[in-house]
Amino acid sequence: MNLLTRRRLTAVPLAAVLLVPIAQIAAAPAATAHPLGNFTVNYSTSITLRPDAVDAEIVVDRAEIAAAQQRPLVDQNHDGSVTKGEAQAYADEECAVLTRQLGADIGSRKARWDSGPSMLTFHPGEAGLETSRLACHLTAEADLGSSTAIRVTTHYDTRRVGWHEITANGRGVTVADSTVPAASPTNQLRHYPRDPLAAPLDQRTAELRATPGDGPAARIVPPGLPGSGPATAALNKVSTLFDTLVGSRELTVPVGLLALLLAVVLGASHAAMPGHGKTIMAAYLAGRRGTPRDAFTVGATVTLTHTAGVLALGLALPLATHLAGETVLVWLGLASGLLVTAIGLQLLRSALRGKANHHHHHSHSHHSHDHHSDHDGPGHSHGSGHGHGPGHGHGHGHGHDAPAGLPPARRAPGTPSTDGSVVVLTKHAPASHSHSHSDRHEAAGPARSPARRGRWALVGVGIAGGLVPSPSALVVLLGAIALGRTAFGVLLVIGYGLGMAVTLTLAGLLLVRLRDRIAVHAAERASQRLKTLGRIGPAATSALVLLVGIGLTVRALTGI
Amino acid sequence: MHRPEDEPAPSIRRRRPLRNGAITIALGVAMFTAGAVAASPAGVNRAAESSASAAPGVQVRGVEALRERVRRLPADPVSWADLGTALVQQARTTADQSAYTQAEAALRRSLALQPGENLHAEIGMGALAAARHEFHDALTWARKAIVTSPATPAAYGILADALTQLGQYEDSYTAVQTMADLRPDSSSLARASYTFELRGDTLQAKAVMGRALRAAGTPGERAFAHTHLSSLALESGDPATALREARRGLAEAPQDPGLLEARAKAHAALGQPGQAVADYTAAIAVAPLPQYLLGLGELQQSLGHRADSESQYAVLRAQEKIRRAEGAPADVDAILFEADHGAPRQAVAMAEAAVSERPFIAVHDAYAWALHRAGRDEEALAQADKALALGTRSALFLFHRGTIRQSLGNTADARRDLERALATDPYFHPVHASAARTSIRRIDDAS
Repeated sequence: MNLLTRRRLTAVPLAAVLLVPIAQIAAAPAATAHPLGNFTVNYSTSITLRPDAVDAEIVVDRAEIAAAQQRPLVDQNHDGSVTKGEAQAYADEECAVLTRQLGADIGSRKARWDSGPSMLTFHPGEAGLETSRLACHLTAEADLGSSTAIRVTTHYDTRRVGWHEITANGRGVTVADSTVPAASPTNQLRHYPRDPLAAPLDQRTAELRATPGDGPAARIVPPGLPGSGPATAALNKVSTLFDTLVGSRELTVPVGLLALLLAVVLGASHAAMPGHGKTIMAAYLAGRRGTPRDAFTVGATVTLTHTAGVLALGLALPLATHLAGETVLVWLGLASGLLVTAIGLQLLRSALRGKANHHHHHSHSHHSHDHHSDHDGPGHSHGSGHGHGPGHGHGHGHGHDAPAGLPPARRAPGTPSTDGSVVVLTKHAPASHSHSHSDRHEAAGPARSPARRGRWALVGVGIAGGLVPSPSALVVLLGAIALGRTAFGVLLVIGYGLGMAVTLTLAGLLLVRLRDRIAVHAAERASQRLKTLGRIGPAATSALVLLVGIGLTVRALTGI
Repeated sequence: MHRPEDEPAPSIRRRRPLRNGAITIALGVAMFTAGAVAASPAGVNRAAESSASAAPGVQVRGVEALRERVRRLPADPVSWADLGTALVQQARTTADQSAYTQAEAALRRSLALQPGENLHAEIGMGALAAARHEFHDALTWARKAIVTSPATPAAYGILADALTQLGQYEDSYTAVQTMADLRPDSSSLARASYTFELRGDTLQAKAVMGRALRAAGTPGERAFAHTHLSSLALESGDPATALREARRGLAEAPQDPGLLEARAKAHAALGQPGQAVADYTAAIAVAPLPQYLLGLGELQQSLGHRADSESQYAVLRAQEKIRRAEGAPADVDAILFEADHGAPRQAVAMAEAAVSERPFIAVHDAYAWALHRAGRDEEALAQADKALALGTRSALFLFHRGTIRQSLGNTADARRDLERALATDPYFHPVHASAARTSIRRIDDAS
C-alpha cells in the first residue's frame, strides 16, 4: 500500500500494463488463511474518471468468518445452499446500501449514482471455508470537460477491522493532485502485503482534480535511466530508494536530508548521462578561452535554469489544463525539431564557408527567439526522448542567442594571457572533443571578440544545460505535489539542479585543465594533421546537429 | 465464569494470597501507594509501560507511532519489541488475528537484534503467548523476563496470568502481590481483583476493581475496569449496577465490544431482550468473538428465534473448523458450544486436550459439562468439583455441578447447587437459568 502512494507517478504506466494479466491469473485465489485475519471485512473503491462520467467499482472482500456471518443473510430460505438467485438478490441489495454510503462531490454537485451490475462470488478459503467477494459497479454522469475538483468519501460499515483502499484513475481525463494512488496496491483485494510493518490501509476519502485529456504525467514518466550495466543498476537502486524516501509517510528531518542528498546524487549522475548539455558546455569551455570561473558560471546557470524550468513546468502542469494535452507536446516537439534543424543548417553553412561568426550570431538569435517563446515553461517538459535531441537544440539556440543582442566586445579583461593559447587550441579542439558547432566560432575568430560574448555564451550554455527539465526531476516534483509536499518537492528539485551543476562544473574544470595542457603541446608543434581535423570537424559536427534536428522533426510529425 | 480468563491477559487479575484478606491488603496497598508516589514520578511513563500487560483500548495510533520509530531506528531492539507488544494489545482489542503474526515478527526481530537479556521482547513474547493461550510458553517468557529484570511489574503480570491459567493459583497470587508491590497501578490492581473473584470474595473483587478504575491512566484501562465492574455486578445478581457500569464505559469507548457485551447481558437480565440483541449485534459487528456469538445465539434461542440463533451457531462452527485446521487448543466457549449445540463426545475430546494444556477452573467446568452431556457423570462430577475448588461464586459452575449431581441421583446436593446458582445470579444464562428453576421444581415435586 505505501508502495503505491510512494511511487504513484512511476507506478502508473507500469501498473496499468502489469495488472491486467495479473488480474486474470489471480481469479482463482489460493486456499490459504486470509492474510489479514479471518474476521476482516475489506473494502476497495476504484474511481475511474471519464470525460462524461465518473465510474466507481466497490469490492468487498470478506474473510472466512466474516463470510460465514454473511451467509445466513444470503441464504434467504435457510436451506443451507446459496442459489444464483439468492446471491444476486443479496448482491443487489448490498450494492444499493454501499451506493448510498459512497459520497462524491464532483465540482459543486453531488454525484447521483446509477447502479450497474453487481455480483457476489465465493472463493475457497482456509479450512474448507469460503471467503466472499462482492463487486458493485456504479456510474454517475459528470461533465469533466474542464478542470474539476472531486471529493470522494466512503461511509461503509468499517467497525470491523479490515483494509480500506481507494484508487483513482482517468480515461481520457487526467487525474491530478490525487490524494490516492492510481493503481490498487492489493489488485482490488486479491493480494495483501505481507510486510509485518505495514499497517492495514485505511483510506476513507479521496480528493483529486480532473483535467481533460490524457495527462502528461503518464507520458513524462521516464523509462528509467538509460543504458544498462552495474553503474546504471546502482543508480536505479538509488532512485528507487529516493522515491521511497520522498513518499514515506511521515517526513522526518533525517529522511528529508537523505532524500535531498540523493536528489543531488541523482542530479549529478543525470548530468553525466550521455547526450546531455554537458557536452555542449564541454565544447564551449574547451573551445573558448575558458577559466575555472567560467566553469562555475556554467554550473550556476545550469542550476538556476533547471530549477526554474522544472518548477515552472511542474507547477503549471496541474493547473494549466490546456498545456496538459498530448497535442501540445507533439507540437512543441515539432518546434524543437525544426529549430535544431535550422541551427544545424546554419552551422553547416558557416562551417563550409568558414566565415566570421558574427553572422552566425544573428541568424541563430532569430531562431532562438522563436524557440524561446514556444518553449519556455512547459514546452521543455516533453523532454521528448529524455531531452537529448531537443536539449541540444535549445542549447545551441540560446548559446548563440545571447551574444547576438550585445556588442561583441564588452567583456572584461579576463585573463588575456590565456588568449593566445586558446587560439591555438581551438583550432584543434574538434579533434579531441567530438563535436559541437561552438568550436566553430572559435575556429573562425576567437581572438577577435572573445570577451563579452564569451561570457554570455557561457551563460547560454548553462541555460542550455539546465533548460531541458530532467524527467526524473519533474516526476519527483509532481509526486511531491501529489503527496501534498510541494515545498519539499521544490527543495528536491533545487537539490537535483545543484547535483547537475556539480557534475557540469567539474567536467568544465577538467576540460579547462586538459585544454591548458594540450595547448602547451599544440603551441609547440601544431601538426598539419590537426589543422586538417580542425577544418573538417566543424562541418562534421554541424552536419550531425542537422541530422538530429531532422530526426526530431520527423518523429514529432509522426506523432501528430 | 469462563469470562475472565478468556480475555487472556488484558490485565486483570490478581493479587496476593492473603490468608485473611482485608488487613494485609490494606497494609500492602498503603505501602504500594507510598512506594509508587516515591518511585514513579512520571504517570505517563507508567501507563505506557504497564500497557505491556494492561488494558487494551484504542492503541492504534500508538502502534502507528511505534511503526514510525522502527522505521527510523531499524536496529533498535527496544523499538521492535515495543511495536510487537503494542500489536499484541491491538490484536486483543480488535480481535485482528493478523496483528498477532505481525507482533511475532516484530518481537522476533527484536530478539534477533538482541538475543539475550532483552526485557522488552521477553515481556512482549510472554504477552503474545498468553494472548494465544499458550500459557506454558508465556510462563517461560515471563520467567526469562524476571531473570533479566527482577523488578519489572509487567513481567510479573504475565507470570501471574500464566500461573493462573495453568492452575498454580498460590504462585499466581504471589506473583500478583509482587507486581502490586512493585507498582500498584491499574494493571496490577485489576489482577488483584481477579484473585478475589476467583476465590469467591466478590466484595473485595469489586472494591479492588474500583481502585483499578481510579488508577486507570488510559481510556483502555478505564474501559477494561468498567467491563469487569459490570460483570462482577451482573454475576452477583445486580444487573442495574452492571448496566450502569457498562454505560459509563461505553460513554468513553462507544465501540468497545467487551462493554457492548456487558451491556447486552445487563439488558437481558433486566428483561430487555431487544436492546440486548442490539448490543450483542454491535459487539459482533466489531469482533465476532465466540463468547459474543454464543451469548447472542443462546439469547435468540431463549426468545424462540431459531433461525437467528442458528446464524450465530453457524459462525461458531466455522470458527471451530478453522481452529481444528490450525490445531489450536479449544477455548471454553467452543467446548460449551460443542457440548450444548454440537456433538458432546467431540466436546469431551476438545476439553480433554484443553484441560491438559490449561488446567484452569473454567476449563475444568467446561470439561465437566461436556462429560455430563456425553453421559459420563461420574467423571463429570470430579471435574465440576475441581472447577469450584477455589470457592468461586459462579452461577454457571454451580448450575453445571447441580445438574451433574441431579443426573447422579444426588438430589439434595443438586438442589443446593442449583439454589446457590440462582441465588448468586438469577439471570446467569438465557437458557440454563430457567432450566435450573425447572430442575428445582422437579426435585421438590419428587420429594
